[in-house]
Amino acid sequence: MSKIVAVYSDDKKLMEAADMLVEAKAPVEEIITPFVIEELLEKFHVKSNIPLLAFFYGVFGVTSVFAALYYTFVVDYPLNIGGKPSLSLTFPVLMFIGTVLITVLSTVGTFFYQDKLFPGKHPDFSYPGINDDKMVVLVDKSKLSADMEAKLREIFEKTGAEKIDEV
Amino acid sequence: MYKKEVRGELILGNKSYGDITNDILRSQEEKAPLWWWISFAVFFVLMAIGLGWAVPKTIMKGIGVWGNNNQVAWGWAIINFVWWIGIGHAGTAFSIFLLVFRQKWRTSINRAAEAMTVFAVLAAGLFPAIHVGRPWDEFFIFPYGPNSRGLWVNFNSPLLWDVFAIATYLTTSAIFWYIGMLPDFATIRDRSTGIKRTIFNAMSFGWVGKMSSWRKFEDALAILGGLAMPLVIAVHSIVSTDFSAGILPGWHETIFPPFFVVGAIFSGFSMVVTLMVLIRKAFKLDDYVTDDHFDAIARIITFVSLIMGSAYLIELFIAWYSANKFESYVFIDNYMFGHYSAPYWWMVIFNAFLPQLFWFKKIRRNLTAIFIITIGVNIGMWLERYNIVVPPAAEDFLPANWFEYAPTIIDKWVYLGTIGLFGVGVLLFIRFIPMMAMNELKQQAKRHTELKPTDIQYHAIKKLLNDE
Repeated sequence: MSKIVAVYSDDKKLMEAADMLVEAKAPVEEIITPFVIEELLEKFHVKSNIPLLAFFYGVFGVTSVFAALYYTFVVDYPLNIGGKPSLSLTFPVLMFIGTVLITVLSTVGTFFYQDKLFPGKHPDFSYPGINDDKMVVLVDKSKLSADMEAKLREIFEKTGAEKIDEV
Repeated sequence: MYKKEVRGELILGNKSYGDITNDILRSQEEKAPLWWWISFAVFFVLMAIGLGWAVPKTIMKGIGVWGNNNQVAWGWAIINFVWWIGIGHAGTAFSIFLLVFRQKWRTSINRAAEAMTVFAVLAAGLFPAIHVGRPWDEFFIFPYGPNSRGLWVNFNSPLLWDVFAIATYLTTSAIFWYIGMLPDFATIRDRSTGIKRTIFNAMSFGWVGKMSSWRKFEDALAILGGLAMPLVIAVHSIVSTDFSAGILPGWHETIFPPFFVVGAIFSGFSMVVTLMVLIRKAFKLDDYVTDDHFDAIARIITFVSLIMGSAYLIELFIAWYSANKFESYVFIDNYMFGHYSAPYWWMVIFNAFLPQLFWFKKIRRNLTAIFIITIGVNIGMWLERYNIVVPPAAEDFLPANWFEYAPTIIDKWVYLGTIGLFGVGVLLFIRFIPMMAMNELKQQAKRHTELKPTDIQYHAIKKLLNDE
């Protein structure tokens, strides 16, 4: 019984609650929704570094594919194809494709790693309906003062939470 | 941006989030209907004969069992390869182009389009794999290190680019498809028990829709989408350079890359529509795939059809304007009036003229008409690839070399086998995987954040539509 769970089934009410929670500086642990609510993510300033990392994967992809092409075609075995230069203008084609492949695989790998997702993993939190039509606000009770807890319960009740539960 | 007030509701029937889950999962929670078993059996038999008899025969005897000859060395294998790759562009074209352009009506259709992509690219990949004749030597294509001859592969060849492009495309679209399904698998996991729960637990990777997870999910998908969009253009441009880097009149054309890309999107969209008509009818999903959806796709098909028509005209014009005898022989003597005129004119009718019927609102909203026209486009696009692969090669520079091409029964069965593979794949998909992205549909159905056009925009658009 260490977490307070407030269950909503209307995202409008959830957003009202979110407004009040942010205002009250409540230590909200997570909000779990069955679909992405961009406004909620913005309200709680949820950020990820995946786009930045993806950029670096891309830079790594371009350079490594170019290096591979340069090594095989210019350094190791310069083929004479119709007298054309070994350092060919066609390299960008494979550099692009290779970069996409490397970036896609590493971005997805990063996503799985950061979110700790892997085949067969059991969900680390479950509550009836959370991936269907229920939205829940999770608050860690151990981090709450008695005042704050009363305030949170008031917010949840005021915004019409369907149920306030403890797990 | 999609304006509900102007373009109509995306999801009809005022659904709650729970209704959406129930409606979409009905197809897999109820028993499979009779039509599903019958069509599964038909496609399975096609696949079994095609992949179980025609393909092994090709591998054991060599590609001499096909109709290919010295002049037409590519034949049906490459026609079908390009056709399937084109259809395989639907998922990306649909799902990702429309995602990037913020077309929200994609949500009901993107999952099916992405599934199609994966199966179509699988079917496509089979053809070059067996067309090389000795599939067991295929590892030569990969730059695994200087091979037994001390050589690296030729990185300047479009045929080699194809290998990388298609492998990357298959990987990217399969990953994009799968990641998008994680939240929906989690929904199924939570609803099911026993063995089904175990399977979907494994498939959902332990997904829980936390805020932090959604942020990463959205960012990862956006990156994948952003990379897949230019990839689609690259893949089909590369397929087109297989031809246009050759010197054959009829192949040696600078118009080919854009022409192929647009053609691919054209056939892909049409195949998606054909399937969506069937899915909507079969599962009574009229509330999710509305007439407005078909209307929107039909408009795109009309536009693309105009581009195709213009491309055909440009080819004819350049053939005449170049004053090159060989070039004009292919296009004017051979295609327009020669003995390849039948496939050519059918192609023009199916691709350039028939979709023009979509200018009429009544036709855009008539499912039977849409079905027939999009089937027509698919036939037309197959004929287009036939026209590119066969006639220019069969009758090239030296009349003494001319040799006609006819496919053998094995050619035909390999093709039917891939149709069986595609059909089996799609049927398994609609039976076992949520065929619409539930989490995205719910996002469309959410109530509080509908972005409204300003009053001025709203009245201006409304007035325009009324005048029309």
